[in-house]
Amino acid sequence: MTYKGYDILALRFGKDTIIYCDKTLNPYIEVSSDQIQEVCIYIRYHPELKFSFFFSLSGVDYPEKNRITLVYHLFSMKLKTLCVLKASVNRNHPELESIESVWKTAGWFEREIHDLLGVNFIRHSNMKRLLLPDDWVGYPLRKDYKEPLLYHDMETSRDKPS
Amino acid sequence: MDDVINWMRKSSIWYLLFGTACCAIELMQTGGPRTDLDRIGSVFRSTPRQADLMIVAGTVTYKMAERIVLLYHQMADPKYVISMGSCANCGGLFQNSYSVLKGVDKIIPVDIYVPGCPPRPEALMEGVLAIREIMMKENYLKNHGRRSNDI
Repeated sequence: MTYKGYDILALRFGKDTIIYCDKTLNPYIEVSSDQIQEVCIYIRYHPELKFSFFFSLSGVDYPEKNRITLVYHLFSMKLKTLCVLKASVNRNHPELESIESVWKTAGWFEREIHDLLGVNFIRHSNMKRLLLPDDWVGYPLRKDYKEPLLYHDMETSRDKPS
Repeated sequence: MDDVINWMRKSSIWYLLFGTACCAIELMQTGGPRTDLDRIGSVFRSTPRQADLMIVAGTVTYKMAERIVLLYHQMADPKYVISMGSCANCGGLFQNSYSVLKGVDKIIPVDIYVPGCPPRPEALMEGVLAIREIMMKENYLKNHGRRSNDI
C-alpha cells in the first residue's frame, strides 16, 4: 500500500492504533482487532482508496506470543496496489468482528479459519466448520495440535515398513 | 464346472465408478481407448450393487473413509478391492496430515496394491489382470459364491 493511502487511514483512526510496518518484504498495516470492521468499511468505500477486491484471509498461530494473527489481503483497482492488514487476537479467547458485511466472500475464509484455528468471528451468518467433520475435536493448524490415536475407530497412524 | 464359472466371472469384472483424487484421471485413461479396459469385459458401473470390483483411486480422507466403508458393504459378494496409488496404499504424500487415512487397508480388505503416484494405465491394467488370476484360483461352487479366506 502506498504511504499516501496509509496517511488517509492514520488521519481517520490515529497513528497509535494503526501502525505502518515497512521493514518486511511486503509492507503491512497493523490494526487493533476491535477496529478491524471500521477500518475495512473505511478502506473499501473511501473515494481515494477503494480497496474493493478482497482476495485472501489467512491466520497465523504464534504460541510463544499467545496470539493468533489474521492477515487480510486487499487490492484496489483504482490505485492498482495491494494492501495487507494484520490484526492479532488472544489465543485463549480468539474473537473478532466478522467482515462478511463488507466483502461477502470473506465469510468463506472466516469459516475456514474458524475450522482450522478456532477463531470466532462475531456476527458471522453461519459460523460453523467448513471442511472438517462437525464432530472433529481440536484445531489442526494450531501448532500445539496433537492428532488423536483413533478417529471413529479408524487408526490414525501407520507403522513404517521395516 | 468351477473353471467355466470363473472364466465367466473374470470376463465381466464390473468396477465401481468412483475416484477420490487425481488417480481417478488415470483410471479414466485406463477405461479410454489406449488401454481399453473394456476389451477384457471390464466396464464401469455407477452403483455399488452391480459392481464386483472397487478401485480406490486416490487420497482417502477420514470424512470419505466412512462413505467408502458404506459403499463396500453395499457391494454384492464376491467382491474385490484394488488400492490404486501411494495415497490409497499408505497415505503417501499426505502421511503426516491430520485428515487423511493412512492406507485404505485400515478400513477394508485389499486384494491388489498398485504402486505409483499416480500409476500408469498399464500398471492398473496389470492390477485388474491380477484380480482375474485370483478369480481363476477360487472354488466358486464349494464356497457358495463367497470368498475363501486363504486367497
